[in-house]
Amino acid sequence: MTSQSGSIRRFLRRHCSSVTMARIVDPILTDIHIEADAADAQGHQWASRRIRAAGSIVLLKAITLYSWTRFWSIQEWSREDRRALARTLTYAATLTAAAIPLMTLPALIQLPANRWLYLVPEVLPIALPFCLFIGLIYAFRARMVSLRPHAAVLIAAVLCSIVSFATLTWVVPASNNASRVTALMDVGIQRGLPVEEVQSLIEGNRRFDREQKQRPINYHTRWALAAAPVVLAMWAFLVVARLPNTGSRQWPEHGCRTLPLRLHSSCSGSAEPATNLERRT
Amino acid sequence: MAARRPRVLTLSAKESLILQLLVRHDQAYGLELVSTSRGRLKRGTVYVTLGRMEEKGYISSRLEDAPPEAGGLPRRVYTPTALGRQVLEAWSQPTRFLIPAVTR
Repeated sequence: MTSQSGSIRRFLRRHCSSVTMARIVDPILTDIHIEADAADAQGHQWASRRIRAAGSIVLLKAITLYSWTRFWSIQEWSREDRRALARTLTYAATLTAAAIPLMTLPALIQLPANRWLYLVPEVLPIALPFCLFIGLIYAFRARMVSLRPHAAVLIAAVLCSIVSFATLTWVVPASNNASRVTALMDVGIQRGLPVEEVQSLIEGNRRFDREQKQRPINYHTRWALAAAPVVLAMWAFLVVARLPNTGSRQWPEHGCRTLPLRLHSSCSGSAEPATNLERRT
Repeated sequence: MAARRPRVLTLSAKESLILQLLVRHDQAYGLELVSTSRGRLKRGTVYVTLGRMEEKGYISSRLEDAPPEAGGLPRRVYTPTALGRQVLEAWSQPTRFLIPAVTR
């Protein structure tokens, strides 16, 4: 075995399962080696190099295909992996369903139900990333899970980002407009342009300059909110990795006490406060 | 406890081709299968398909002693199992009748 294929094998053994190594990696590396050596023996050095380069691409393709097919066969996942994924999705969905009425509670008291519904698209992109973050931390705490549920949750976060983006781009402007139209109908203003409305339009043009300055902030806020599920999910993975591996019953108390100090220590770069606290608790 | 669903035996076109080649040669390496398939099997997918077929129980594999040209790496040899032969037989029986009728 050449040093190059040996180092590739050592690297892959750290990241792939023994089944993947036996069924995919080792046979392909053997094939590459035999073919490249045959080319070398005939004096075709460039052909040997080409075989090794093409073989590396083949290896990458085979590993990707194999991982992809195994990733979707959920019955092969371990019980812990399945529970972690199911709990994350359940907690996130439940929290989002609870957070939306809570966030729109002031409007719910003041407005009629048909106008309250128009507020739901506005709060959804805010509620979704935070609920996913909390659900993820609570579901992944103190569990030894493989990379599969991590990848599945990350895919769910990407889907949440797409939903947020679509909501902010198309649904929110449409619902705002619909809300305004409904409000005008409720107070009985006729459509058309009477003198007062013309005057209000002139006033509106004066306000236009001020609003124009707010537009870049509005624009970037939308992008930031759309990206928030993925960013917060990745941050949650980091937080979970740093959480102590205590039992699930002890976790809320222990985690709540240590989390602020752990976050502070990770931001300041010193591991001392968390270590001390861990020793005490 | 929930009842386990009965296993449905499936055979894709690529899997049947591999089984046919293995039945013909009795045993073969991955690279041999690629070369004897005349371009119908690709190197990037043959081992993925072989792995899936091994999981289904259609083929079995063993490591052969490393040949001198392999530089110390043992080769994996694939052989069809009895189930694999039965599935291939069952799959090819209707096609023998169907294909002439369709192409007539």
